[in-house]
Amino acid sequence: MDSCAKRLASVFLILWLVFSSAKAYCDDWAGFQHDLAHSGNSSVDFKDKDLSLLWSFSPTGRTWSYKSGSSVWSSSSCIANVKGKSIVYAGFYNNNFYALNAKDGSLIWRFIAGNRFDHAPVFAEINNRPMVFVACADRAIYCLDGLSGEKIWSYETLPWSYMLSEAIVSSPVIARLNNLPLLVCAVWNSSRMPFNSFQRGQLYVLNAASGEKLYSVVLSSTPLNSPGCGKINGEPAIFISSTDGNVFALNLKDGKIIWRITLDSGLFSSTSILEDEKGSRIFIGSRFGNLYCLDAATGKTIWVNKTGHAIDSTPAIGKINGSFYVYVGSYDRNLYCFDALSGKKIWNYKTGDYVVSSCSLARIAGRLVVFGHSLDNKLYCLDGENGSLLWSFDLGKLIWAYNTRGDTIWSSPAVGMAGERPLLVFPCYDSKLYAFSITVKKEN
Amino acid sequence: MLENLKWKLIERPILPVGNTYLDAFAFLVFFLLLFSSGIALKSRQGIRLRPYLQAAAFIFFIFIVHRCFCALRGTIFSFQDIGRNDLNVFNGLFILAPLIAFTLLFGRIFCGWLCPLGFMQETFFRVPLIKEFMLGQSSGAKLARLLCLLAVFCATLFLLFKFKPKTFFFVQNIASFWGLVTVILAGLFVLNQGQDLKLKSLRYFMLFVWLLIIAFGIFVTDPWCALYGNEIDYSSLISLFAVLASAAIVPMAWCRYLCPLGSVLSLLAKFYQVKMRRKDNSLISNQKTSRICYVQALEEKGLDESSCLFCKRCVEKGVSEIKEL
Repeated sequence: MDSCAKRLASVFLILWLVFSSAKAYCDDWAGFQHDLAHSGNSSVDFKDKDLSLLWSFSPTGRTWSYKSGSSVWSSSSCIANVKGKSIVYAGFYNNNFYALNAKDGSLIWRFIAGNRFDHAPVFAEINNRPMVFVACADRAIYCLDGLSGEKIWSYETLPWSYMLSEAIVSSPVIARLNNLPLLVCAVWNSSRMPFNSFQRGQLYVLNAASGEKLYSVVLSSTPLNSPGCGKINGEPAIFISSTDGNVFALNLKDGKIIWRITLDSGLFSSTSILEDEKGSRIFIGSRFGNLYCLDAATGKTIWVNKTGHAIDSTPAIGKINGSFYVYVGSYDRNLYCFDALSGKKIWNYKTGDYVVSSCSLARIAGRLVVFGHSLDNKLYCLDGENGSLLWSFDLGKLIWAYNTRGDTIWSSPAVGMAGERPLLVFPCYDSKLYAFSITVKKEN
Repeated sequence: MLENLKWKLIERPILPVGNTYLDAFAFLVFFLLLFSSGIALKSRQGIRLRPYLQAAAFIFFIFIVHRCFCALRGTIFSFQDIGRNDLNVFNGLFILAPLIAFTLLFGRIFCGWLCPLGFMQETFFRVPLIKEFMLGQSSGAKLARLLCLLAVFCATLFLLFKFKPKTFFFVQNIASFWGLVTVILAGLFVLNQGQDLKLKSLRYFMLFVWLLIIAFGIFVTDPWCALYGNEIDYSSLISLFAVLASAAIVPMAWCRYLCPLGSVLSLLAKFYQVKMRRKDNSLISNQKTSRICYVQALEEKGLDESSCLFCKRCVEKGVSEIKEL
């Protein structure tokens, strides 16, 4: 009887461990806008709307500098549970990439590169080894050990030359093709070498385990945005936009362009992909202020809706009562919610300044909520269904006097778990990384 | 509500430049309009075409082209991208280069014949009731104009604070401040019309300040940005209100005293070899000439060439003549 009870207990223990670890993995915010499709939608539930600052992290030891034309000042972070340890990864403008303990913000390790980290990293476990991948403005893509920060490999997109400019990189994603982990990342390089100058926005597909280049495709002479992955007729595909106004769909296997479409103006928003029973659709915002819904198979416009000003933020996709909604910020100071099927505007919430960065979605007591940042120095939490304000937090001011409008795509919030605790992380332009969570009520 | 307004007929490039969003069609039509205006200016009967060309440019810029033709800010910003982002450079310089060329060839035809904002301001001058209000010389009329300008100033100030951003109040509102300065200068003109030339010369100083602000990397908007770009830029909208309201009290106040692009083109127009001259035997009083010229370039001492928009109305009325130097 005793042995039976022990067996049952051990089975329950194993099942609990399996499910809890699986849950932890599901609750990871693995990279830019949560997943391969850039849905920005996390399953994390905060249970309570009263979020408070848990900790903040400020990098020290380097003077911050600003150069006009920077794409992102501090990259969006990713949150991962690594071998039972919750870690927040974020790159900063001071050439440092940090791994922080998600529970208290203490530094676990840091990695120093040759230039700024201005795009989100991506986390993946490959061959049972936790790995963080990040692209740097020093033209290299790095693969670091998630626990120790040790460099596993790095891929230099272009050897150094004195006429090269800083690279403009994208957030990488990890896609799988026949169980082969692929790192997909866009890097834009330019050289001012007389008679041999070039400007190249190139998509790289590398073997994520070894860093070996599988192929690369030159797509534009201007910078590219972060690639997203989805499917076209069951085949894995990459969707990527370029700042010269084009959206591309490429076959993940060989990088061949399936379709290309030119939209109304420059595109600084990355693609979000929605796959449901009605087929695959892509959402993207343009500098003209249009939010497009494109057919992923053909690139044809399904619907288009106009906001009052440019959209640089990547649309987030959430589901409420079986219907999908798209959440996006605009330079007209509003956060918008559109019906994903018809494109009809559901609500808008006016903030005090431009909304440039992307929104993130999570849940509070089962209800979908939107976390969005505005240049009015506030982080907002809105109800996903009706846009009512649930919570807002005053962040610090920009540490520089001014940033040219449109030069910078600001960081977006990330949602994950710090052990058992839900966590909202936001790297801000005031040189701090903020982590919010619900207040834990102590039992008497 | 304003956010959902959409008034552009063409949103995708018709003739994409190198498979990008840049539209060669827009540039071609712009060239065509500039060229047509130049030819019409040179021909004797061409003056009759002016309202049609103005209307065509107005429709083209505001309702057809889906992107802003940014001549000054775009140019300065694009200089930073030389050798780094050729598309931006092409985009920035492609407007100013033909504007400079055509201004050297034909004078300020863009201002006088094509600028939609100029056309909108000029429309007030064409409404007889408003024209009488603008040109009335009695002390009562002056007082009424001053009170109206005061009301416009207060309304602009109110809008400025009502729609101010929570951060970057100054840098995001430069166009609004320029709108306020337009109202102030219009008020100074109403107080003493004799200082018109002095006020006009202020625009070069304002141009210098404007360019300096852009050179610092500040994204300065203009009164026309909201119209051209179909965008809700509060500063642009507020300055548009101030500019149009001032133009209903003092003819073409923005063009006369502050327009940065107009100031650049008026400097270039000095190299234009065809000059307008006020006829020596013209006996028409200054009061009457103010009814002929929209920008009041027909001064008592002669013709203010830097303000002249080459509309040729004064030539038609026999007050001025064209002289090829």
